[in-house]
Amino acid sequence: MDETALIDAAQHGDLDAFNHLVLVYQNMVYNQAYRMVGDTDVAEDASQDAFIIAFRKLGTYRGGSFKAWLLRIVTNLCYDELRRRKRRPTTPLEPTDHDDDEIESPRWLSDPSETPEQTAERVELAQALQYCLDGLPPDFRAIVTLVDIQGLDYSEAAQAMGRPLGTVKSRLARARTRLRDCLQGYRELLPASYRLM
Amino acid sequence: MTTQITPRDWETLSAYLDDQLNASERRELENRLGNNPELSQGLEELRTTRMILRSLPKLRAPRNFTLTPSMAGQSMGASMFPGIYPVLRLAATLATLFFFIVTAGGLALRFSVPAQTVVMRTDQMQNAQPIHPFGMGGGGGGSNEAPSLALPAPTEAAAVNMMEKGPAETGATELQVTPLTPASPEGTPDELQPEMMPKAFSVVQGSPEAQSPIAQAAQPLVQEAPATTSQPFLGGAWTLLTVLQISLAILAIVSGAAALYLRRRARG
Repeated sequence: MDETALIDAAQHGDLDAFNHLVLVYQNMVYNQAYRMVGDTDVAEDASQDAFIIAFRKLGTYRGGSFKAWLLRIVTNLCYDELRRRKRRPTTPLEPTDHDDDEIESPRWLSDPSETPEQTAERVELAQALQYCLDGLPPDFRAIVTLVDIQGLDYSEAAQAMGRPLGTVKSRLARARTRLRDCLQGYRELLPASYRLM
Repeated sequence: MTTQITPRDWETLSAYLDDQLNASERRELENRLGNNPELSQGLEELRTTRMILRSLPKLRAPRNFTLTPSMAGQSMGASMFPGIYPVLRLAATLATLFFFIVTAGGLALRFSVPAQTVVMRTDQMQNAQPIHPFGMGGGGGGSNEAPSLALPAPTEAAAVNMMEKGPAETGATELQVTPLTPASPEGTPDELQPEMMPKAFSVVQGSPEAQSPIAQAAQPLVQEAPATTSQPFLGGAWTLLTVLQISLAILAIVSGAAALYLRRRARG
């Protein structure tokens, strides 16, 4: 079944059809949530909630990019979480183990085909970048994640953000500029090929 | 570090990287890039930043987020019948609206119709039975037959006869009314003699004995008879209105409750 048929079936209450869509988009939704909130547990909860809400609100979907529609739901959930966190800033951004010690190389970042040096280099880069992303305002974080990490085009990003195209262009440029400034502070952590001039 | 690049330039560079400029904008920017090393350096830095972002590993979801029936169960009702909620809501609204309209119409009708409806028919006048003219009136309207209210019109002879006998002979509460003798023997029973009625009443009202208790007792009957209209349909109308009210009330309650139930399940 193609995506349109799956969506149509799901709109008529077919849970199996909807779960097919979940399997297709769950990595994308989880990535968006993690890049927005920077926490695996919160991202997991946000992703699950996003799919529950999506199933519940499926009747309001009126065509267009289903991917952008899903991303808008999870992005809005992340906005709520960031607002909640701003009121009670207690959640650590780095992953921790059962003893609440920081995990330097989380399991999901490991790759058996890499040497330890390569893994360390990649993890450092990812950590540096996530740190810089966390320093962005939520709107900037959302747009740069949608376009540069998720690979949406401008119109899809505008749909996912619920913003005009012009706003998406200007915020994306400002977000990239701020990330550039932030990454220059981590020049030593970046691989040689990525070092900014 | 570039300091002479304006925010507008950064926006143009960013759009250029994503191939979002039109032909003239692109040509203009490329001309500037050839003449402005800082702008070129800014473009390279943005390109590298974008490359770093794109190099981030795509994370795999730690588990499947597929929904179980119990997780989706909260919204199954509304999702399985996506069109039923607005229909139920509309039905509840319309039923409530019509209920109030019918109730208001029924009340207006009730106040516009006299409380006691006297049905007078010539055939009943001819077959008049002894009645209790006072103290028993009131209810009973609504039946087509309405025997207790089928009052024969007093006739001249009956009135004179009653007044001559006086209250002692006629009894304090019971009035024996002699049926009207038709002026024309061939007259059909169903034909009321309108010219007779005022005449008979005027005799009663104008006689010197009109102040006697019997005459006073007969007075309301005499005055009421000409104003009476035959409305046998009213009983059926009241019943119909009541049934309609009850039906609308039930429809409003049931559809409203069902819509509320679906809405609560949809919201979880």
